[in-house]
Amino acid sequence: MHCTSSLDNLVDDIVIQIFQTLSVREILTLRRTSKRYYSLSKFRSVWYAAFCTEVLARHLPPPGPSCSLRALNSADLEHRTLLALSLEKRWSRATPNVIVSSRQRETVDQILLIPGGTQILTVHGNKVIYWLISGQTGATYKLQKVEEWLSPSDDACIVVKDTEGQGIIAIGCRDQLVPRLSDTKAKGSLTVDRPNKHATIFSLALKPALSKLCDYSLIPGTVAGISRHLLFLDTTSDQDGGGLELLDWHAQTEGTALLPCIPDLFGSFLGFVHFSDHILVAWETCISVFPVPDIPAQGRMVVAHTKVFIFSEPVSSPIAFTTCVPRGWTGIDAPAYPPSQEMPSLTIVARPKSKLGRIAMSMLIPLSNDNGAKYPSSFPYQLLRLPPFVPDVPGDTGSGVGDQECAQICMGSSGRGLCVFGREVRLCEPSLLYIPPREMQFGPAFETGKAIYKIEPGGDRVDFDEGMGRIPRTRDVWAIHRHHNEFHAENQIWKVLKFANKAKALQGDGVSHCSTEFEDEKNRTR
Amino acid sequence: MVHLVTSDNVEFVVDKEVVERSVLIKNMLEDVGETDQSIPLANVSSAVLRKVIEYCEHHRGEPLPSADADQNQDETRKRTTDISEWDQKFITVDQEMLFEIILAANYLDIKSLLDVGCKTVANMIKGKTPDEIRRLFNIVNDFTPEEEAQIKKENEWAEDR
Repeated sequence: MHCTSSLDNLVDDIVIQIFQTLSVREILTLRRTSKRYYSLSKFRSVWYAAFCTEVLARHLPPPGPSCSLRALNSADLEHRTLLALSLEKRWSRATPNVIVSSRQRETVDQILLIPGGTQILTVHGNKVIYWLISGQTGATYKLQKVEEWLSPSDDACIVVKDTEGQGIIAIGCRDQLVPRLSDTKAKGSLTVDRPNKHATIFSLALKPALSKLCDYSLIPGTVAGISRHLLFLDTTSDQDGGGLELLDWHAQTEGTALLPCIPDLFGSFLGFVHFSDHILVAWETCISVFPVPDIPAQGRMVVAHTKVFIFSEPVSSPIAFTTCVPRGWTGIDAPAYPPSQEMPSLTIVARPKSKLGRIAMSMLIPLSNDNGAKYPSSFPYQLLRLPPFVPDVPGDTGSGVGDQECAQICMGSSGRGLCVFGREVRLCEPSLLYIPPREMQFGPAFETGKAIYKIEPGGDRVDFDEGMGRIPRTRDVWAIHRHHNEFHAENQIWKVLKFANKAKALQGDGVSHCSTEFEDEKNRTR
Repeated sequence: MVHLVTSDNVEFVVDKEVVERSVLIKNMLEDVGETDQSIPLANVSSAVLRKVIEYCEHHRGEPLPSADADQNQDETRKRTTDISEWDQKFITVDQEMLFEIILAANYLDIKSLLDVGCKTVANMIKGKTPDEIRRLFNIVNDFTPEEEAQIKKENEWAEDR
């Protein structure tokens, strides 16, 4: 008869079942007791259970690329679970580390981080390069050039990524003749005689790396976005009064649906979002709400708006939207969990047109039952103005940093996001807002304290991934910053990993520059 | 009625309906059919079997969890560490008995009882440090100080609340 008063006497299967019942914090504690529990804690079923209950069921932003859960091994599940929990805990307080750095003698016009946080697209004139960040936790990260695509015309490219996070992108031509922020009146005649506009749609989720899904040799307007089966084109510079024009790229038909702009009333087109079975188009003065149209096979159909919400003050680009509901795990065998919010609200985050040093926020919140019954509507929402965000620079009022313009706003669907004021990158995360007389709503709240990172003013662009906590940044030299390092002890150390490519080697300008860059980064942020 | 003989040679006579909560015995009875012969349970002592039968008596008539239960449901069920009041009282035993019950439930294949046992152990672990867990469960620390420091470092973020 053996003595069973030690946990060691329980067979492995039972200990694994106990592990499956523990929270992540307790798994990490129990594994530290002895080698047996350390190795048993590495079983896949332990982390499968932890990932499902602590990440997926809690609707945390999915860390890393979505795929079949079955395809994830134990180490991957563990890594993703711990990453998701640590980001959730310290999102806005994180210190970025450079995990990959590259020195390339090419100007980057645009940088996009594809949801999942491992795929990057850079746009250089009429060339688009697709990169992969490879490497395991704790090991070295590498940037790997996977594919390069050259536009058939000489026009500079513009790339948009799909709003659903499915890894679909559309590449079009940048509208160079009309500066983005120019007055609407100045447009028109300039752009009309540029008919060679093409658009190509690619998938980054399929193999080979840049799979062409669809090709349009001539499209009206400029590519403004892609969402589900719809390609969004900005035709507001058309002389006969355009708006946002929609193509059905699944059907690959020629017909379009027009969500019209009323130029004198609406102002410039800023952005759009799919929300509550409608398409919401943001203009300088308002948001117009449209039903999702059936695109005709031929010709142009004009769609009437359902509702228009007027902003309390006119806004300008940049603009971003968030429902504070993470887009969730899209793998085919993802377990279904009840939604985190019954009827989410939508927050519109934009720079006011007249106050460039702040961020205006408004929120579309569901009408309460009483109001809904009184005024039945196909879009039962009301627009509320939230307090604006003004970056607070403690003890630094004299230098005028507080007057810096808001240059970029990026929002993830979870409510995590970032904004750039002048040189400073600041983060935001979802928080509960009390909006009288209504109950609590989730909305993004910006960090008022210190900036997490500084970039060069002007040309620098950033993007981010809410699940992985990665921020790629571009300049002539571009680097990827990871928000929080799994090895906390190294948090204060910049981790720059060498990335060599041919261009660099040819210029004979390799490692030494990399280390100079490393020093630069280090000094600048401290 | 079914006759069970424990490791210390005590014979128990139990209702078939009660004892069939054990998938092991249920399958055994299906295989051999009606029999007056006693079933030897070499891994279970009389003290433990008495507790196990008490559990089965109390849960008599409750539906057995189906073998091919949906895995997702299974996962969520496992993670809730709530235990019903009666089960809670039932499982309030000394640690040696707790582990014996868990082992018996595992051997006899009584899923719900195994769950209760595992959840109880999980609840005992909650909020404790590795050292406290070692002392509680008589676990010998076989890590070198370097290994221990390394593992601690791996997940330091989880420490600060």
